[in-house]
Amino acid sequence: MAKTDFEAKFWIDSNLELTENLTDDLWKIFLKIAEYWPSEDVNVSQMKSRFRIFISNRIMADSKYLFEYINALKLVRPNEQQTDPYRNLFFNPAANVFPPNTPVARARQYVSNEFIKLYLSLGGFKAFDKSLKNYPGFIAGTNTEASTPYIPFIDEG
Amino acid sequence: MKANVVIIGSGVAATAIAHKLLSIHPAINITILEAGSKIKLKDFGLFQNYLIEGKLPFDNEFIYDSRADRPYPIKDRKGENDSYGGQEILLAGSRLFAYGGSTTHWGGWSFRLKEEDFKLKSSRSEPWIINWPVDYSELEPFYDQAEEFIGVSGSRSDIGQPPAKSPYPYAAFPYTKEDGIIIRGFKANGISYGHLPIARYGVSKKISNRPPCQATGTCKYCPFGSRFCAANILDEMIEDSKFSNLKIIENAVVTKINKGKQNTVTGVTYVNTLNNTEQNVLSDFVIVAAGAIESTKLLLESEIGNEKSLGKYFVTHPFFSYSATIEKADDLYQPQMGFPTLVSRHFDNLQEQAKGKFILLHPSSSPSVRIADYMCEGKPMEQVVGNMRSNIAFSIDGMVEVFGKPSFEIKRLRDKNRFGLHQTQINYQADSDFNDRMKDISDVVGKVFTSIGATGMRQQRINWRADHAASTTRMSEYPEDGVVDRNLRVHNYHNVYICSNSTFPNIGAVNPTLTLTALAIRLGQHLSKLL
Repeated sequence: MAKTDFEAKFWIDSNLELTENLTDDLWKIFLKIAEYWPSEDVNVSQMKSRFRIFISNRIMADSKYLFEYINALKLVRPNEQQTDPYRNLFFNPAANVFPPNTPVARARQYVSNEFIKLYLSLGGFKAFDKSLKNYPGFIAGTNTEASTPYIPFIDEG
Repeated sequence: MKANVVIIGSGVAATAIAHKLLSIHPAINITILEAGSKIKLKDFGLFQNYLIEGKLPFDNEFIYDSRADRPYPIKDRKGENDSYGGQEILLAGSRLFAYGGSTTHWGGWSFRLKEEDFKLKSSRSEPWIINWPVDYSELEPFYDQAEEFIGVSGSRSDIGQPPAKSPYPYAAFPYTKEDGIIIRGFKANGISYGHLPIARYGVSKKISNRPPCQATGTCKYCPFGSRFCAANILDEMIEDSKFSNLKIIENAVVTKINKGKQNTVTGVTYVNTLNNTEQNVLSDFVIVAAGAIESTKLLLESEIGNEKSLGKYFVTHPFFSYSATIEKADDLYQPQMGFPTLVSRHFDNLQEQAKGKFILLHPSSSPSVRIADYMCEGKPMEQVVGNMRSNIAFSIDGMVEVFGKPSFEIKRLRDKNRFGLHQTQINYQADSDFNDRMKDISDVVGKVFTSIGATGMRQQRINWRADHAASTTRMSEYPEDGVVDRNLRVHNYHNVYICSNSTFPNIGAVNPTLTLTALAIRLGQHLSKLL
């Protein structure tokens, strides 16, 4: 029996709603990932609709993600102590502690790391070499003789 | 309940038999009994979950209850099943209890056995070893049909393949850029290689409702259904109005095959595990297609089959993996695919058979570059690129043939697992010459790595999973040598058949699923003449 039904409309507590503002603020984290690992060959704005679906799916899979997203947004809120709170989120080694039992570790491991994987699968892998053609999760296109959806090895015998 | 044919299990064998029978007799009454239940496939949310967490929906406790065996008991962990005899055979993760069976999680590797695999007695002297009662030429037309049925992509022009009259239904997936490194090593050592035949739909000029592979690299949960999975074919058959007498009952644990008079069976008894009620199905024919282990245990429970062979000669494939490091790569490399595209059957031949044939392949996880991991660790751009160029580990994996013995056996334990099936006990011990064979393999792989400038070769622990469990109800010409005859009918019974890897007298060096599918289609054709 399925523990989670992805087709079911997710349950929303009256005090915990996935609002437009929340989604837009999470989108800013995603945009920052594309800033720190940028690629001229990636049009990040085209990823937004799939990003929204992703957020929705994560909450449907586990409602704890509402808490995780709110926690992450608190950490990247502009403040006087940190000039670039996103840098702390992406690069602070303390956020790698496992199990993630601090706010920054939870934000890294349940939010920004997942966004990184999503970013790569939507085409962000091209940031590292524009000749790269395929990556886990990337929907690369059909497999035809004329257009192999990954970089093939041409065997010349 | 009454059926013309009852099939126990809903994996690829059951699906192929039902499909063949229904294509000849669309109105026939077939009942398929499956101990497990459905897992949602082709679901984008589950695909994303796998992509992000690396967890498959049927293997973890988060999305579904796991459909796999639990690990063996150890101190402080209850576990289930039992393995003894010196070599632990892993059941956990090797098979699934689910609608569609283990094709829900399989890799799709679809090799044909070679001609000599049907004649092992020519190479081995143990008195218990037997040849198959069918040979390659007899099975060859059914291999063609099996490749069509499960949608194999491959290339007939590769060296060292068994003879085939028809082309593969789909063209081979080209080698990847990363394969090119290993190919260089194969060439330097005179090792032949080819495209790995795999059950993923390609682009076809024929009209097809099969979605072609989009190379997402997440094949263990394909969001499109481009990798063959029996569950998708079962769904199609159930939805087809022509097959109105096909019935699939989930959560149905068959407890016994019921004997009738004069070496016949009358049907089966099963327990509906949702409401714990017992049901009987009367049937003209009973086909046990519940995987090698469960099929064997059901026959043991039902006291059907030659007890001198039933449950004995257990064999599976040890899976090995080597890696070595290239200090400075000439280019950027990272895994692009979710399935391998390069295989060598160079050592899968008659000359190697006596010592154990083996295949080598370049796994889809090679090389060891993991861009996401580097970013998640907080590595900036230039460090990630640096990690893609230096100290890259390439891998070569493979499988080696080992041989069964009467003392290698599976038994049924009294305790039941959470699906309501009796737990399993496996007795297995690797042969004394196994380490010598692995030394041969290490030498070959070491030379390949040396040729490509990779150093520090390491061997991962050999994986003795029961994925390819076989031979425990083996097929034999004479009743005293095995459990089923050349048509998979249980010796001395008129109407009970087994269709599983358990009927293979030996398994060669390659994955058994394509051969199983060929046997299933052949059985479907055989039964169609009796109905």
